[in-house]
Parts: sequence; structure tokens; C-alpha cells
Amino acid sequence: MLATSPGTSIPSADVRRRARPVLLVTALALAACGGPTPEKAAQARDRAASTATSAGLVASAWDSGAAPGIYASDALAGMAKALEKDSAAPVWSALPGPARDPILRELGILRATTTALDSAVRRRDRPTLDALRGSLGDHGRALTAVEIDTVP
Amino acid sequence: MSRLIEIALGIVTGIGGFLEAGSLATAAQAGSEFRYDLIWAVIVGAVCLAFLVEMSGRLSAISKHTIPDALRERFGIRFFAVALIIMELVMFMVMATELGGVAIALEFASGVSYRWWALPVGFVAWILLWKGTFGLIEKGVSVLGLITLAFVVGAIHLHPPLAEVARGAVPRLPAHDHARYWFLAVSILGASISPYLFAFYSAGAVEDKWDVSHLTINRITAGFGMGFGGIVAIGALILAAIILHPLDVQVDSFAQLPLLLTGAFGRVGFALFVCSLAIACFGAAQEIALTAAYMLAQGLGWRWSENLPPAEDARFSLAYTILIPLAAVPAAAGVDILKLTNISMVLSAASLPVIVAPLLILMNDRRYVRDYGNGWFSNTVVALITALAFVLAVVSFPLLIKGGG
Repeated sequence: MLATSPGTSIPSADVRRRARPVLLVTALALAACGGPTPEKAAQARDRAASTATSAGLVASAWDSGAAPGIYASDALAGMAKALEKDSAAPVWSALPGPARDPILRELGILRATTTALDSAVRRRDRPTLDALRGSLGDHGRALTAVEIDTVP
Repeated sequence: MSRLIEIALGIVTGIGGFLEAGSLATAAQAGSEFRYDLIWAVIVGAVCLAFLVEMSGRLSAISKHTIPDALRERFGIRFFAVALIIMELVMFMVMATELGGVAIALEFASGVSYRWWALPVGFVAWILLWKGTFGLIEKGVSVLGLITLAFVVGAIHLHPPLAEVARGAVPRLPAHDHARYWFLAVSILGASISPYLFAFYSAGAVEDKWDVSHLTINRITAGFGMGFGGIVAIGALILAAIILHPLDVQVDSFAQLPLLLTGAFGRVGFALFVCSLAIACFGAAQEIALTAAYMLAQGLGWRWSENLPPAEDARFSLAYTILIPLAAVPAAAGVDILKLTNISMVLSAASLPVIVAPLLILMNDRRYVRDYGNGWFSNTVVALITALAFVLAVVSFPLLIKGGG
């Protein structure tokens, strides 16, 4: 409970002085959190593209025999889940339709392709894996090519 | 001859025990996003840690006090209680990330989700503490931890551009993403200068019955062990800079990390990565569990020693018996281990002033260190570390929110 000045419910000067740094940090934290912004959307786009590239690397590692199927399948399933989560992120609401729609479309394709890569690894289907890796690369590049105006 | 063996073992322990989930993840994130630009943070962290570890060992060898014990005696129970709560909270979170790290390594090897591994891993860690001795925990797991040198060999194998690596040793302002850059710098420092490391070292000096004759061993072990340990983290950073950065891959999941060693060594690299992650995190989890129990026991005046049978220091043994399963809960509940790691490392950095500032006072108090107190050089370095610790404490939370990703 806060210490108060005698006879009042106003916190004492001492308590107010002590609370100042806490309030400052809280204000900074709240300011930093904020809502969705184009800048955060650009970061989320780059993160999703990075996940897709990682999926391609994992698939390549499995294909070359450098990574076992158990790990590759597990990692690809996790990456598909991360891309699904990215698609549903509220951050895209900060963007106008012409920027948001292609991003959501590419994210959907990347998620489906990553899921298909997982299936190909499970089936040990290398020809399909090769084709999917190419597609993943194309759509990853298409995602990062979507321009987001971050200047307020 | 036995002194030489002791020095060698000490250095090996420092190298093998340096890398853990936090230092690996933060180094890989730094390399993938900023190439070699954050190597300086690893170097600063390793140098600071070497100084603090040396002082902790010297304090214990001369005064026969561990850090918590001296903190309570010198600064009183009220200060100690605050320090204890902060330290226990931070150690709990770091221990949760380490247990999560072992569980993830087992998931990579087995395909069974890390959630299912968390409690069994905690059980194995507990049984080893219950049955084992201090020497087994300190030296045994750390010697196995030498496998993490695979990151250094891998980095050399890929021929990094040495001029650029050397430039990374000099701090500079980032060209992009300032908040993320400083967030990672703070995370690296938090991972390197973990307060648990020097609290553990100080308890170890008492467990091993160090005295004045051990001061040279202490200095060599701290300097070389921690210094070379930092090189392992730099190896991981370089691998991420070479393999992941050119493809614009940011590390946001542990599942990306095996690519560092498969890129260097192929299939063998995968096995090396899984073993490195499992052993390094397991060793760190055990050291943290012990340190958390040491802090409670030493501060509250309970009987303590990892070399005693649990029946003879029941409250000390009960402390880690309760802490370990609790720390396994976040991983068992499916918490994102990489996010937990980043938060833990920032909290670890923020908690530094609580232990570093009092250590500076203790190291100049003749009642504790007699004629073996800090010289002007050590005092200047610790004063700088204390200032750095205060800055980290102030900036870490806004950076966590702004740059945490």
C-alpha cells in the first residue's frame, strides 16, 4: 500500500519522487508498444520472408543428407505454423489494401508451400521437394518486393 | 604438476562452460542480422566476466566467504533480501531457458516435442545434483562442453574475412535498426556477464577449499578460461554471419540454429550441434540450480555443500529439488524458448548492478580481502563494469519492448 500524507489520500512527496522512474519507464514502454504501424509491418514482412528462406535451407540440408528427416520435418512444421501466425497478425491492419492484399496472398502461398515441403520430406519425395524449393524462393522474393511506405 | 593440472582443468571448465542457450542464441541473432558488427559486445562481455570471476575467486580464497554470505554480512539482511529475490528470479528464468535448450536439442534428435522432454530433463539434472559431487558438476559437464569448440572450428573452416572480423571488435554505431542492435548488444552482455557465473565460481572456491596459494591459479583460470570461452560465442556469431546473413535470414527460432554447423560440416555438423546444445545447456542448468540453492543457503546461514550427502544439508538440497521442476514448467507448457531466452538475458543484464556494485565495495574492504584488495586498475575496470551495469539496467526494458522483435 502506498504511504500517504497524514489526513489525506494523496501519496507523499517521497513516494511520488520514488515512483517517478517507474512511471517514466512505464510511459516509455507504452510508447514503444503502441499499435500496428507500417514500420512494424515492414519488420513482420521481413521476418516472414526470413522464415520462408529458412524453410528452404532446412529442406536443402535434408536433401543433401546434412540434416535428418526427423529434424527437417519438425522444423518445417514449426515454420509453417509461424507463417500461419504471421498471416493472422494484427500488424497488417496498419497497411492500405494495395500493400496488405499481396502480402497476405504471398504469406498464404508460403505457408502452403512450407507445409507441402514437410509432406515431401516425410514421403522422401525429392523431385517434388526441388520444385517446391524453387517456388518458395520465388514467393519469398515476391513478398519482400511488396513496398511498404514507412515514412509517416 | 598438480597445480598445472588444476590450471588446465580450470581453463577447460571456463571454455566448456561459457556457451549456453543464451550466449549461443544471442550470438547467432547478432551474426545473422548485423554480420560481425557485434563481436565487440562478446569481447566486452568476456573481459568483464573474467574480471568479475577473478574477484569472486579472490574474495572467497582470502575471506572464506561466498558472495551471498559476504553480501548479507556486509550490507545487512534488508539489502540481501532484495538482492536474493532479484537474483533468484533471474536465475529461475535463465534455468528455464537452459532446460528448454536441452529439451529442444532432444526434440531435434527424436522428433518428440520439447514440451515432453522438459520434465525428464529436469529429473536427470536433479538426480545428478542429488547423487553427484561438486567436482563432477563443475568439471565433468564442462569438459564435455568442449564439444562447443565445434563452432570455432566451423568458423575457421569457412574462412571468414579476417579484416571484417577484426573491425567488428571495435564498437560502432549500426547502419540500420538501432533499437534492435542495442537490444542484441545488451542481450549478449547479459548472456556473457551472468551473475550466476561468478556466484557459482565463488561458491566453488569455498567448496574446493581455496586459500592464498590459489590466487595465481584463480587469475590464470579466470583470464584464459573466460577469454577463450568468449571465442566459442564469437565462432557461433561468425557462422551465422557467413551462413545466414547473406540470405537475410534472421534467427527467430532454435530450429534455424543447426544450419550453422550443417553448413560447415554436413551431417556430422548436425550431430555436433545437437550434442553442443544439449551438453552446454545441461551444464548451465545444473550450475544455475546449484547457484540458486547456494544463494539461499549461504545467505540464510543454512548448511551447504554439494559434496555432502543431501541428508546432511537438507534445506540446501530441498532448495534445488523444488527449483528444478518449477523451472521445467515453462518449457513443458510450450513457452517459446527463444523469446524466453532473450527476456532472460535482458533481465540478467538488468540485475547486474545488484551484485557488481556491492562486489566493488567488498573487494576494497580490508576486513574481507586483507592486503589482496583491488589495485587501481581492477577498481577502474569494475567501476566501468558497474557503470555499464547501471546503463544496461536502465536501457534494457525499453530496448526489450522496442527491439525485442
